[in-house]
Amino acid sequence: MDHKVAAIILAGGKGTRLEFLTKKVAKPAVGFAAKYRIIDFPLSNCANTGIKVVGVCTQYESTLLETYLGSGEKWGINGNGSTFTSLSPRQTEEGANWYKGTADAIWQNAEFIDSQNVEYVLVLSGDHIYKTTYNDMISLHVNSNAAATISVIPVPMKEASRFGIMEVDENDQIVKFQEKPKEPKSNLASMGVYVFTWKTLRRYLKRDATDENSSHDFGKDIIPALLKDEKKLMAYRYEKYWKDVGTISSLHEANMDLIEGKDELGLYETKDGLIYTEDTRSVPQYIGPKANVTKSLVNQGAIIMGNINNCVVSDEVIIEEGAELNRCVVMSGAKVSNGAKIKNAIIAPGIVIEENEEINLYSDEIVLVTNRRN
Amino acid sequence: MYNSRKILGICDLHESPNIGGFSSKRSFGTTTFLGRYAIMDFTLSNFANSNIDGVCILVDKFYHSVIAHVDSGKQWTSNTKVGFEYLMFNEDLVYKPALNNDVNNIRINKAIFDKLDFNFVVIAPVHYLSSMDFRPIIEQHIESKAKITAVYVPIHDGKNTFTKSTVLSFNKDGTVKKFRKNPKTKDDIDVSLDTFVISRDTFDYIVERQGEISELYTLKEMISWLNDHEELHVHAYKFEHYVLPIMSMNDYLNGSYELLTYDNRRRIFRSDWPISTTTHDTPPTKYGENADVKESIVSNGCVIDGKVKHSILSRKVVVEKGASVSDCIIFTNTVIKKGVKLAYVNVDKNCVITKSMRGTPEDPIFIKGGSKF
Repeated sequence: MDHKVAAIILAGGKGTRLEFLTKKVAKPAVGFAAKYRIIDFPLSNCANTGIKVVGVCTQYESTLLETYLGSGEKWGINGNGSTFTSLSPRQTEEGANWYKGTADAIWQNAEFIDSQNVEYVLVLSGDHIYKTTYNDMISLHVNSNAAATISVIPVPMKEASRFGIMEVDENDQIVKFQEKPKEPKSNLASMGVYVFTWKTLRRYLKRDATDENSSHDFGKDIIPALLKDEKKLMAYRYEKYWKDVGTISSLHEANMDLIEGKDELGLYETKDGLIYTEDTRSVPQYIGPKANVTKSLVNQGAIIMGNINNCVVSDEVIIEEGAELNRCVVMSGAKVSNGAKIKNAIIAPGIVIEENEEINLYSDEIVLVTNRRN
Repeated sequence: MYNSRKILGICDLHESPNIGGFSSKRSFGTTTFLGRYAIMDFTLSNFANSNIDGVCILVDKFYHSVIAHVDSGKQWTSNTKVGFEYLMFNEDLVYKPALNNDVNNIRINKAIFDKLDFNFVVIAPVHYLSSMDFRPIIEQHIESKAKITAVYVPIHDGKNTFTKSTVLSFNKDGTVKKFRKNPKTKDDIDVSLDTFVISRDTFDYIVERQGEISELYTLKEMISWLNDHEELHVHAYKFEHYVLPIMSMNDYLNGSYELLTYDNRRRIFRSDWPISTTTHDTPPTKYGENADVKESIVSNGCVIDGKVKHSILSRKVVVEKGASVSDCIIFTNTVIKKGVKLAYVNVDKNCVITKSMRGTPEDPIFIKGGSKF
C-alpha cells in the first residue's frame, strides 16, 4: 500500500439481534465458519491490503474482544512500521464519554489518527463477512480526488428499502443518499465501508461533534452533510460476496453459503491472501468409524462419531455416535450426545445436547440452541 | 520457581533415526506426524509446558527445514524476549557424518552455552513421542543430588517393540548399572528415553572429556562410557505414561495408525498438555456431497468429495469425487484425482495422483514429494 491509510474498524456494537451469542461477547468476536471470528475478516482484509495502521474501536464487552485482538499479531499487523491498537472510550480532559455513534467513535480518536500522519482513513465495520483487498477502492478515491468513497453493493430492488441507498450519476459519483427509502430509486446499498480524505473528514467530524441534534452517525449525519456541501462523493461498486451477519438467521445463512455451491466467499482462494485467525492448538479432527460427514465444514479439534450433513462444525466439538445433525452450525466446544437429532440450528459455544434430545426437527425456522431450552 | 533454577532445554536432533521415505529430504524432526504436527513439536511442547523457556535445538542436517518450521520459536516460548529457541548447527561436519554428533555441535557452539545462565540441562531427542512433564524429573534430580538423571519407561513387549532402543539395568541403590542395546530376548525391560537431566558442571565435563576420549562419541555414549569407567552414578527416573517410539518407517506407520482410535489418541493428547506447532492459516476442511470418511485423522484445509478410510490426511489434501483412499498417509497439498483408488500408499507433499495403486500392510508403496502420475 503506497498511500498513507489508517483503517479504523467499528467493533463496539452489541449486536442485540444475535441474542445469547452476544450476551457475553461483542458481535465481532462471535464465531464464524467453524474456525474464525467475524472480525477476522475485516482485519485479514486490512492485512492483505498492506495497511500498516489499524485501530479497532471497541465498547460493548470490550475485554474479551481486546484480549483477542492483542498486538495484532494474529493478522500480522505487528510488523516493522505497523501500528495496531484497540480504541475504547476513555476519560480525557474533556470528560468521560461512551461512543455516541459511528462518527463519534472516530472523532474521539482523531488525535490518534493525527499522530499516524495518514492522508486517508478507511472506515470498516467489524461485523461483515467478505474477503477482499481495499486497494482498488482506495485507488478510486485517490484518483477521483473525492472527499469520500463509499463501497456499494447491488441488492434486489424489492429489498432496497432496508438499506442506505446511493443514487449515482454516469461516473458513479454519488448524487443522493437515502437511509432506508420508502421508494428507492436505485439498488446500490451502502456496505458501511468508507474511504475518507482525513483532512476533510476531520473538519466534518468536528462540526458534527458540537451539533446537539446529530446522532453522530456516518450514514445519518456525516454523508448527508458532505453531500449538502456538494463535496465529491464516489461510489465504489463491490461485486463479490458480502454479508452483514446481524441476525441469527443471517449468521446461519452465511455459514450455509460456505457449503452450498462454490466457494463464493473465497475462503479457499489464496490469490488475495488468506483469512487469519487465532491458532487454537487443537488436535487434527477425527472422524470415527461409524461417522457420516457430507456437505460440511469441519475445523481441527472436532471429533465426529455421528452423522452430520450440511453442517459447520467448530474446534473442540464432539458429535457422538448416533447423533444426527442437519443444517446446523455447531460452535466451539459444544457437545452433541448419542442419539440427539437437531435441524436448522446454531448451537452456541460450549452447549451440551443431551442423549436422544430432539431439537427443531419439524420447522424451517433457524433456532439458536442455548442452555435455556425445554 | 523453575526460572530461579535456571533450566536450559536441549532438543537433540542428532539422535534422530534414519527412517527414509518421508524424512529422506527433510529433517526427521520436521517430518509431518498425524497430518498437523512436526515430530519435534512434541519435545518442544514438553519443554514449553514444563516452563522451560530457553531451548537450544541441535540440528544435524536439513537445517533449512528446521529453520522453516521453528521460525522465531515463538510458539514454544512464553516470553518472546526472555525465552529463546536457538538453532545450533555444525557446518564443518555436514560432510563428515561420523563426527557430526551432538557433543561436537555443542562444542562448536560453546561460546553461546558459556554466555547462557543455567544450572541444569534437560536434553531430549525427538523420536520418543510423549506428553512428558520435565518438572518432577528435575525435582527428583535436585533432591537426589545426582549429576545425571536418565529417564526411562518400563515396557512389557521388549522383544517386538523398542527394538532399536537402549535398555537400562540397575544397581541395588537404583542407580544405572549399564546402558545397552535392547537384546530383544526379554519382554519386560526398562527403556532409556535418551532423555537426561544433567547438572551444569557435569554437562561441561562430558563435553570436555569427549574431546579427550573420542570425538566419535555421542552424548548418550559418553554418559554410558563415563558411567562404566568413572564415578558418574547416573540416577534414573521412571516415566509411567504413554510413549510412542519412532525409530523406523514401520514405527512411524504403526504409531500413526495406532492413534486412529479415540482412546489411544487421548493417551498422547492430554487436555492439560497442548502440543503447539506452527500455524498455516488453513481454512477448515470441506466435505462434499459424496464424501465418505471413516476412522481417519484429517487436517485443516482439505477438500474431500471421495472415500477416505483408516487414513491420515495432512493439510490441504484434495480427494476428488469417486477417488478412494484407504490405509494411506497423505502429506500436504497432494491431490488424489477423480476415480483413483489408493490402498496402503503413503504419498509425500505436493503430488498429483492420477493412477490407482495398491500396496500391502507389510510393504506399503511410498510416493516421493512432487510426483505427478
